[in-house]
Amino acid sequence: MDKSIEEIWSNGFQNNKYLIPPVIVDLYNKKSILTVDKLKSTSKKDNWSIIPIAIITLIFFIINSKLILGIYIATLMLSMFFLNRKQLEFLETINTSESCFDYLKKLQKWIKNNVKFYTRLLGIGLPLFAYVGCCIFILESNQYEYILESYSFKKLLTASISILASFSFIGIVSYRLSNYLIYGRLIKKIDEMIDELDLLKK
Amino acid sequence: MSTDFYKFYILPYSAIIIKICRAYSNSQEDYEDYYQEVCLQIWKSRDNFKNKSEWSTWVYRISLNVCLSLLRKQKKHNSTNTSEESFNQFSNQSDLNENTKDYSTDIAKLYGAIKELGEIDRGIILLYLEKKTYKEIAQIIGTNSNSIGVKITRIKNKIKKQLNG
Repeated sequence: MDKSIEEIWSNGFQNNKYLIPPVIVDLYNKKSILTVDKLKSTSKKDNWSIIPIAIITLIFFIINSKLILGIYIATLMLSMFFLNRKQLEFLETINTSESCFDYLKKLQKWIKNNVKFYTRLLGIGLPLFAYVGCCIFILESNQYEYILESYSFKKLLTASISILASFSFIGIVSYRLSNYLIYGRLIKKIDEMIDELDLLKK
Repeated sequence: MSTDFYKFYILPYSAIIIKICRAYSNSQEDYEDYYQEVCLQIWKSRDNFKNKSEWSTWVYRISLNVCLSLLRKQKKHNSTNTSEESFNQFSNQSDLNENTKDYSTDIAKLYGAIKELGEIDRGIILLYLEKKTYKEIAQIIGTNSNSIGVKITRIKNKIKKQLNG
């Protein structure tokens, strides 16, 4: 090679045809479709992960001679799986041939509604179901007579309220935390894209 | 991204972006994606430009950062691919220089040699070839300017070896 690297470089780009930039097309559209696809696959995986957990939970309780409690928790988990699946049907209705601003806006609204829905479900529903679970546990352990004899109604009421409040707190915190860890980046990306598209519109 | 912004702040510097994107991408499709992403990031970070350096230096910095981050993402993605996908990628090695296939033989060979370098070394040599001073290169890469000269000599030797080999 006779020419120096510097010479090759400077001579190489003398012809302007090598420096014609590619046409920028559908930049946001491409990114939006990718984000929606990512959201779809992540939420599907997230939901399907409930099934093995439900099976493991059932086996665990059967081994520990708590069949009814195991069936109860596994049924709750399966209900959660079907409920999620119903909620996720919306993602399949997203029409990516529409303007990306429009469908991202719809998606953002759906995410916000979903967060509200699950916060309520886990803040109110989970404590109630967990309370029933505690009652099943006590019944299955044959400890209900001992508990009724040992504790006054006032004490039982206080304990029940504490259990409900604790489960409500745990439910909301764990939901928000898992939501942040699994979907945080995607949700942030969607919000950012909407802001940018909004800015461009203005 | 507004058309005016693209016209006045990106298009005049598109040669910089093109050269960097070509050095980091492995196919024409990748190259176009890299170019678009760099443009988008320049637009997004426009408010962070504080006039402490030239706009072209800013464009170099963003282009390199974006290309490096995309390349790393791609490597990470490729490492989790199935063996079948890996095989397909391997069998498509001829695509590696697809994005420089229209170039003259010399420059295509030089690009090929540059692509054999490490991620940071590619950036350093591109900036050197673009006649940036050691101080500017150090500023863009975020390293000490004293070591740049030695690094460039080593990189040039590696490239010469590749070209002659």
